[in-house]
Amino acid sequence: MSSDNLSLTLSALAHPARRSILARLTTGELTVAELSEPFDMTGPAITKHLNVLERAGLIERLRDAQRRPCRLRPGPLKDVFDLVQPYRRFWGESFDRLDELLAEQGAENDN
Amino acid sequence: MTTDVRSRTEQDSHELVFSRVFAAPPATVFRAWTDPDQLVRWWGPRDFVLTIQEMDVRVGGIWEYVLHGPDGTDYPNRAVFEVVEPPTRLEFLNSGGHVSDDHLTCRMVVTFEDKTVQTLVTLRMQFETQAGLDRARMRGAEQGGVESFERLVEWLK
Repeated sequence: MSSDNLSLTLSALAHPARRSILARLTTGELTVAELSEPFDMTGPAITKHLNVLERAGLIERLRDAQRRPCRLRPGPLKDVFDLVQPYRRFWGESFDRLDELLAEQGAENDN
Repeated sequence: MTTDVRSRTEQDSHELVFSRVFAAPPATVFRAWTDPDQLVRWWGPRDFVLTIQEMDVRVGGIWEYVLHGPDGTDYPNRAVFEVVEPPTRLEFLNSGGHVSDDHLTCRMVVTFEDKTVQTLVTLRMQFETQAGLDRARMRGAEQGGVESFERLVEWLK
């Protein structure tokens, strides 16, 4: 993935409504009407968000007769996840080890 | 205990935040962060080895260390302590020694909060905003704290 694509993904994710849309699409395909339901937003406003997501390759609109449901395309999200994961691993494992060290010290002090 | 990872973007500051509660008082946990003999026993992922060349824990003091990766790659780091307030606060400016490691260049702000026989440690990795790469990483990382994004990440695994 080029950095330009990554920027496109990140800017598409930089809105809570669009993240919410993506999260809801993890449960399956949904139509624009279904996606609009929890939002206090007009159809055109939702469509605008969907267009941003579609341009970033995060969703696709299926040509399913009138329904045209939206489907999640998770590929670009994987790249974002890969950026964050090393930090999570570094501090997750470091903190596990620190926890163990402190437990050892506590056990020594009890003796 | 789980390590909560979240981050936020506040104006131009980009930071990643990691918190955990440890079953020891702040003074004990603070020592584990500032005593080289203890640090080498926990700093870094399990398959990494830490070597500390120099560690002078006082304001302006230098901390030079190398993380040895499991594939033989060495990751030299140099840090300068900016705040040393035992047992509640530690800040240092950390620089990765490799050109390609600019994601390791950040200010680390560590706070130790007394939670009655326990300590809440919060580590903030604050990245320079002018570095475009870091900005991109942090904007990506920002999503990590959003519940909806967490669900996506779980789903992607």
